[in-house]
Amino acid sequence: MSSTTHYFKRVAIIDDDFIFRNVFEMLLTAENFSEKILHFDHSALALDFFKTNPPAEEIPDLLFLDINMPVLDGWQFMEEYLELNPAPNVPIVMMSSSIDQQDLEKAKAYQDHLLAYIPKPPTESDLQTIVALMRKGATA
Amino acid sequence: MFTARLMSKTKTTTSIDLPWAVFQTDATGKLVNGSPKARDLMQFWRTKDFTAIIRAIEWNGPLSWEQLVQKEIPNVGYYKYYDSKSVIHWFRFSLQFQNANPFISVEDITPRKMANDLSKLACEAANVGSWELDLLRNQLYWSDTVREIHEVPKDYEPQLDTAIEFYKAGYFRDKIREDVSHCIETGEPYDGELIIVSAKGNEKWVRAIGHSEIVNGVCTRMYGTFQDIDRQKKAEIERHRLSERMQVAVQSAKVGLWDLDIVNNVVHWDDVMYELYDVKREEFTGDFDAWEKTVHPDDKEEALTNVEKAISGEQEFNTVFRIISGKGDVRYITGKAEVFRNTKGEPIRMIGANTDITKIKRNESRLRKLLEITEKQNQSLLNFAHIVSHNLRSNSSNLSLLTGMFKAGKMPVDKAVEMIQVSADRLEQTITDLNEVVHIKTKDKHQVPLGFRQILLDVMEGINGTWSSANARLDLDLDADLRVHGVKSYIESVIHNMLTNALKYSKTDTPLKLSVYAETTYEDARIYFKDNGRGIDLEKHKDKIFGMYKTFHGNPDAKGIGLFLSQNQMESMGGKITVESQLNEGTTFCLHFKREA
Repeated sequence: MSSTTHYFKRVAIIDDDFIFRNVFEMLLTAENFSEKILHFDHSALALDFFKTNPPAEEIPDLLFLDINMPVLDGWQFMEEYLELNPAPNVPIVMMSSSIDQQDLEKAKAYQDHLLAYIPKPPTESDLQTIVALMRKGATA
Repeated sequence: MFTARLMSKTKTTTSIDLPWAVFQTDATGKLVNGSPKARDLMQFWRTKDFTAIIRAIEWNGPLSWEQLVQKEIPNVGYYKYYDSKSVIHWFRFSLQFQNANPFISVEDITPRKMANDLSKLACEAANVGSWELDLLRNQLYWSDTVREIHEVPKDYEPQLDTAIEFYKAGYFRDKIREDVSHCIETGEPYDGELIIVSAKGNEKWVRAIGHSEIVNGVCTRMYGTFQDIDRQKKAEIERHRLSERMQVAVQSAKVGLWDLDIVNNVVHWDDVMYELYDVKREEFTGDFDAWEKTVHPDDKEEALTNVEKAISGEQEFNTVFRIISGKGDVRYITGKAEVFRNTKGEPIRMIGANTDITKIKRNESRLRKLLEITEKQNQSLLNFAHIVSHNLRSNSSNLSLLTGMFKAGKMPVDKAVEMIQVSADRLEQTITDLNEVVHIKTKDKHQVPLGFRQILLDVMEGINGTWSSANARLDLDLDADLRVHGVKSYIESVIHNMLTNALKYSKTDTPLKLSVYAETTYEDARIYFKDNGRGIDLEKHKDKIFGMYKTFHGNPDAKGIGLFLSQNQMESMGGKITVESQLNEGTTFCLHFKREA
């Protein structure tokens, strides 16, 4: 990933852990992943953002969603997100440090709505996988 | 004298003037003369032909009427007469002669005859024989039944000394010898159950009764009965053995037996019942109420209904109830019973068995508690695993991400160091929190009764500053003597958490008002902390509210450890913590304490 063109225009990180958000942003930037990176420090804020019907150019191309968060966890966010009208139809990548079997099973149940489920810490190759999956989805 | 009077009368009158029935006949038996009673009898017999009656008489001995008259032998005979209702009447005919003329006096012996027959029948049925000993002539007489019992021929002639030889050698022979000689000397009768060995060598139980007649200090005669009681005696011995065996079984199994006479309201308890109920025999009044009083108040209604239903026949009596023993402790009893009825189907008796199943019940509830504890432990282990997974892994993954970025030169040094520092601090905090949880889980602290109100006031003093600067109010409605069972440091920690939580999650525009009040029962105390704060959406967070590192408000102060610790502390004291809440209206936490160990 040495090209100077970015793969995405804007992506959002939904995670309550500010250290992770910041380090992950640096990683994304270093890999030229996205021109703009939005932060939501918990999922209710992200939901509120979508509920305000933002203009199309402000809607991110991809969401990185954490599971363990206060107020609404990643799964609760998914439930409400899928109920949104109009549906934002933004691809979601679930990220978690969880090794809980239940989380993996839930991810399976949501696989139609998830682009990927990647364990923390994310690596460069994870990012390459995401790009590949997006391309495949676009051509399909 | 009798004949003399007869003679004088016959000479002067044609009828015999005597107050009893006397008939004079000729040699053929034809009636010549009779007393008024004799005429009455002829009427009763509904005949005018006395010869027909004479022919029907059964005379003692082999001689017939004709032979008796011819030889002028006085004799006695019996006449059986059926009246119009087919009832038997027995008459005794006593034949005498006066100048070759037969005179017959007749007596109605029906009642005596019946009694005699009955007793003979009874003796035969009961296998009772009789014997007589003439001590003057040293002659022993046995009835046929006595011979049968000894299994000797019908013509066997017993002797006193050989008769005694039939008794089994040893105890029984010595006993009868002693009884007989005592009876002869003192006139006191004897009645004993003894074993004989019959002529055919069979051992059998007999009941021997003897009486003596003493004339001028000398015993002249002994008589008595002799009964074969072998079957009854053996049955009795067997029954005794069985009942002893059952007694052993029942006593070792601690089964109490009771017997209620429903008609007279009398209750009989066996020894085990007194043990089971720990009631002293002299304190038990022996009626239904005496039992009812022992039944636990909460179980009384059901137990009484079950008894009623059993007596009415609606259902079998098979139930479990609690009693309060004589020592004051609660015991679990299973009762089974059977109702007995008379021929009209009316209940007359109820017999039942009780066993104490307190231990089984206690073990059951202990098991249930263990299961609950195990489930909780399991839950907290899962929670623990979850914490390890999330908090430790998220920090370690941050660290590895950071160092990776730093090494690759994709991150400025000062930024990297700052973030590594924060992550390290967080790891440290997580480990401290975990340590505290493990401490609660592993330390079995001694629990004592504690005054709750004072502890709360002491905790309050420590946070008074923040409390008053937030303009918060505390409404304390607790009795000073309210005591709960627990560990002081845990209760302090829980109260501290309740107070600071209420403050932390109060509404931004309304000052906190926290009410603390209690509800107590005999067994537990519930202490409520009701606030007017932001509230929690329990529908969403019900499963997680007491989980570790769960926060619900996005509040930067929230660490998600407080309620988790409080719950663990409450549970380790045998209590629990519950919550009710309405978003934007407030939250009520309830601490459940035990009041005694």
